[in-house]
Amino acid sequence: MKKGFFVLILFIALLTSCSPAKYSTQFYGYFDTVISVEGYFDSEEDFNKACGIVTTTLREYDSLFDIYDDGELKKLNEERELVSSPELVRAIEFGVEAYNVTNGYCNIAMGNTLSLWHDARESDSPYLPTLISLQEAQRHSDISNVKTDGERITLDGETLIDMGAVAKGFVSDVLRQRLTDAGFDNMYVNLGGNVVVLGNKDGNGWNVGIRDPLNESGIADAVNVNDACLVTSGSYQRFFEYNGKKYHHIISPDTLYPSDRYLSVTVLYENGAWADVLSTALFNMSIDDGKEVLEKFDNIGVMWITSDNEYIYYGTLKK
Amino acid sequence: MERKLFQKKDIIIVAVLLCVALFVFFGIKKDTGERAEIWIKGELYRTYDLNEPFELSLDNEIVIKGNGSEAWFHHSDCPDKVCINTGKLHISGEWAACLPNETVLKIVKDNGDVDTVS
Repeated sequence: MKKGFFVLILFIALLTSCSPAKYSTQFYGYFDTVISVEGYFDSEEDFNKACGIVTTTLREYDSLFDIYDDGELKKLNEERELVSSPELVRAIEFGVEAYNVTNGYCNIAMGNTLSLWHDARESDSPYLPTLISLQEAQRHSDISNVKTDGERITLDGETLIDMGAVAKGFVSDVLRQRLTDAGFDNMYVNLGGNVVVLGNKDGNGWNVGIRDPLNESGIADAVNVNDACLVTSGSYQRFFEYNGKKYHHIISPDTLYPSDRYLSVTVLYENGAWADVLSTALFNMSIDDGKEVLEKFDNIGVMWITSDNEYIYYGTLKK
Repeated sequence: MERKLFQKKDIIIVAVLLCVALFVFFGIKKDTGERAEIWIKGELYRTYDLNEPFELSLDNEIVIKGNGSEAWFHHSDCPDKVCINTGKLHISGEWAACLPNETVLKIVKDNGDVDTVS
């Protein structure tokens, strides 16, 4: 009888221990976006630990990439040469690789051009930068002006670096690594549209919606995401209005104005940094040119929503 | 031969089955995807699963509670108590506000069965 009870207690203990609860939180403060963390955790303590990893990592990388307040990158842009942290070197080397892979449609050396748009957008009374000033700024966007040698980064000419198209994706891979190392495998972190998914929600998969660009509270489609990243670049994300027309934040290296082919581009890929880079690069390219770039990647999915609201699917997102 | 109605083994089996039944009954909660959002000064402060009990105490003596199906303002230091009088909320879209404290409780159902939005 004693043995029977023992088995029974063990059984109950097993049953109760394998039912983690769902926790979630949302906060603002890093990368200028709303961050949500959600997942299944054994205890509130575990959840807080995971949130701690998320905030520490975001704080660290935010101060690395910030060019407007007080980041290491801002220092590089000002001082032109910097013995920097290995993380920044790694990120900038990735940015140069991203330029080459995307045929220049994701260009971290476009800092001068992007800062003109940034200033216009953030101004109390937004205005349009002149084409002449944009063309002048774009003359300094040659990626070969960005050089790394060990821990030393050098910027030639007047080139300024802007990691806007890379930063959130880059940090999402760091997040995945650190959370996995800490033993978390059933959660997601959403960095304002960059969704990093760990695990598969006990076999069900995390269901991630793609925002409907024409209806803020609706979704255009939903994707089952397991151990991967889903990133959307949308014209509705950051924009300003001037003379009744909207100007968003994804600037075409061709026209130097906001790209107008698409309302949004979504990329599903295991690597968050590439997903982020590609969502921006594809936004600036025709479908055909984009598909040519995509041939360099395996197991990748893309959804374009064109400016006439047509849905186009590629790869693993194909229906 | 005399045989007991229940033997030790039978009791254990019955007990185990009961445990499984109890676990299935309490362990599987219906996730309707409904959430209680708490917004403070125009920013989303916290989100709770409406299907799980919760209690949130804020500095200004506001207490917001959830019982697993409804959420409500339980206490507030505001003079008019409109927030408390709004009562218990459970339908998505419903909201209660404590304007003096710029605090809003809102029930949302996020896009059907979607976990998050990209």
